[in-house]
Amino acid sequence: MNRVITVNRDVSEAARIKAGEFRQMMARQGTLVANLISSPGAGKTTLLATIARRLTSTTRIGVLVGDIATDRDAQRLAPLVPTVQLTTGGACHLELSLVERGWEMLGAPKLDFLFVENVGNLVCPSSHDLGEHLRIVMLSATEGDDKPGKYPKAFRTSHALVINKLDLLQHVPFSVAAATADAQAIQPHLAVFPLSALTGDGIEPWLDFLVEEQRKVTADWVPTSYA
Amino acid sequence: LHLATLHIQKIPLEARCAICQVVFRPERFRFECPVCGSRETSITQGDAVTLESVDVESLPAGEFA
Repeated sequence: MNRVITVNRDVSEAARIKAGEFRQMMARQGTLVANLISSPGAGKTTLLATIARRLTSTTRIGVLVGDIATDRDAQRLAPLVPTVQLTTGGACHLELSLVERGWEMLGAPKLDFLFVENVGNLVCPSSHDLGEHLRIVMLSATEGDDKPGKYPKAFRTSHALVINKLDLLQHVPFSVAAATADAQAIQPHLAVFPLSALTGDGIEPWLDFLVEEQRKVTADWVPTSYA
Repeated sequence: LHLATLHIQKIPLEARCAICQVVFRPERFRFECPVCGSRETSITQGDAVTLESVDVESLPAGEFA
């Protein structure tokens, strides 16, 4: 006997609905969830440390840091801000279920910002919706200004681009203008923030942007998706 | 299951220009309208995976009644 079972369903539908529910739930309590994506070593943890130092006096921040192994990032951030390390045990990206568990391990607090530092990887994290309101892709000067075109989905699906390690510009052949143009050819709406997370150079416009984005996330918030 | 075959039908990526409404196939993730040059575009197809149907043979009677 032979029969055809018609399914006709998007395989990512269930994941998309769950992510939407988490996003809405966090928006209702005024929490901006930010998903930080970059290659290893671009400066995600350093940027989060800088944000924590600057914003913890005025805002409630929680951080989830994703890695394949070790709690090194959590050890760096924990003295500054409530942090939970998420270890994937081999997986190259975070998924929503881990983020939900991490938020519960933080004590399911009402926050202004929940920063999720994804596993260092410019490829796979861009295909997984973590229920974030803001997707931030980060590129550092030492990686080269040709990377957006080589890893387009991370840039296509992001809302903001942080170009880090401006303090090294004098030592490496990297053009902020070229990287910006390459990224915006893929995603014209990308807001671009060249800065040095280490020295704090260029950090003010970035912090202003975060605070403004957090203000927008309320109960009647509508997502902007560039997927 | 080892005898199963997977049939994949690839749907090419297409986008629509928000300004002149032309539908085009972006090359190398450059979402720029080939007609008017606008970058205000949205994807209309080719960025999803849909399970269309499962073709099964020799079902035990009543299993999927």
